[in-house]
Amino acid sequence: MNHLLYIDSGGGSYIIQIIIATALGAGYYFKFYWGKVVFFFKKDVKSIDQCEQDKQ
Amino acid sequence: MNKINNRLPSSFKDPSGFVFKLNNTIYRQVNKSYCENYNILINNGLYEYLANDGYLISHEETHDVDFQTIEGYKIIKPKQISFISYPYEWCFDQLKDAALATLRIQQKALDFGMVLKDATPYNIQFLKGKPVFIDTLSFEKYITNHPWVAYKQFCEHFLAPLCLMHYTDIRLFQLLKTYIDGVPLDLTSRLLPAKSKLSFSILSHIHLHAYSQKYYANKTVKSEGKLSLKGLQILVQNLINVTNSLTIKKQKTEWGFYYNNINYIAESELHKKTIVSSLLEKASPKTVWDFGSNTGLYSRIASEKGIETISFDIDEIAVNTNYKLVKEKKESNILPLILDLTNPSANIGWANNEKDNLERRGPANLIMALALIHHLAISNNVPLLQIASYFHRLGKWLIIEFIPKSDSQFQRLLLSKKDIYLDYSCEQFESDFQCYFSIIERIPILGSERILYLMQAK
Repeated sequence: MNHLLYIDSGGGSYIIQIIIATALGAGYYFKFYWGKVVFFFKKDVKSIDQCEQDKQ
Repeated sequence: MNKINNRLPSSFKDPSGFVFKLNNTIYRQVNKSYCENYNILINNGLYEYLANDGYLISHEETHDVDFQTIEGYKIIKPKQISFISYPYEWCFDQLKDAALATLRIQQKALDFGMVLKDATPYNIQFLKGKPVFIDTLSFEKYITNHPWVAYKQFCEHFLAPLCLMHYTDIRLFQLLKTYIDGVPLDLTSRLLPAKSKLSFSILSHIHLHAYSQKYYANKTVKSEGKLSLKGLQILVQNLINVTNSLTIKKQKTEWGFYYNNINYIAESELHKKTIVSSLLEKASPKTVWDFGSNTGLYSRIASEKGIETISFDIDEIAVNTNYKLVKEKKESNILPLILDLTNPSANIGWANNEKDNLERRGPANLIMALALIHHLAISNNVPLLQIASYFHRLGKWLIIEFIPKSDSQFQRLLLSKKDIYLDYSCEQFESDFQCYFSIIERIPILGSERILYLMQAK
């Protein structure tokens, strides 16, 4: 604990912020990678469409 | 060496330093225990960045003033603030903007390898219409994987009252007067409606936070090595998002839409504005306190002349509208604040000396009390002589509007009251006020029976 700490940071507040940050972080990374997956498939569909258009 | 008499009574909590007053100038002593953090703040570019952006109050180091105690390392002279306001005098949007400013400073501090060690609205003041962080000693070196020590304080001081005003009732900002160290989260959780739990952020930062505080109340918690920098940044961003999402609903208050309902004729209103303007020029004050200002229509006559104006009103919605106007028009001379003149801000906190009452923060050069006297005298039964006495303590000049009994607004106050105010007359008003003031001007308002006075304190 830092020696200049003069306010009560609260044990429960320490624990809950770690849990919240972990949950938010998990959500953040899930969104990030889910976006990549969606982008990958969309890109794939687009490229198929593009190929079909080129053929026509 | 211990010149404790100069130290402000409110500046005693943080061992990093304290604020003191010398020859009417505010200084801050930085203690030796804070020297490492102070040097990091000044040398790593964070101070410069925040001060240039107007987030942090600027200061200069001075050698002209002696250390006040043997712990002294530096004396700094911050930019001076002429009027200190308190969070329990702010409207919803002011508290919200103060919260967002605190979080953005925390974000920026993390970018520079520092962190805010406290997050209280008492570290914020409104300067030129914008929230500014005034506690230069609130920054400390970020310790890797250390959770945010001020997280609890932020939730109790900012998030809890904002949620209560958003979900429950705007008047609950008053809790900040009782709980000057932050609104307890268990109380907040009980006062919030069940639907607030549908928001992940409110559920976690308030409800589960309150539960966690209770659960760990008598347990020892090891705090080191638990929260990564990225995790902390995500937490702060989430607090910004949830704070941004909070608004006040269209709650109908008594005076929130006053100017939509009054029955002045245009000629009277225009004449009243002209008189107020000319009386202000005659008194040429540097500071004006406008009581019962509603959304600041007449306060702006003063502020637009470059006069530093505090625009007080009892109504939370009216003050919020006033503050929104300040932001929209980028006004720098007007500060809207909530104040119930029948129960003005008192001396509160430790030894009743931590937060100053209104009178201690004065006197103003000039008081304006337009269309107010009948509310004090009739709605609150304050004798005219006592009103005169209090105004005399608050200001050197007075612009006051007398509302006669025949006025429709006066009659409205008597709808559910018996007229026991036999002494209330123009003659009595002048006689009582002349005990404390000299009447300099007396101008009837065209198209009404109202009279505007310019008075000077005796």
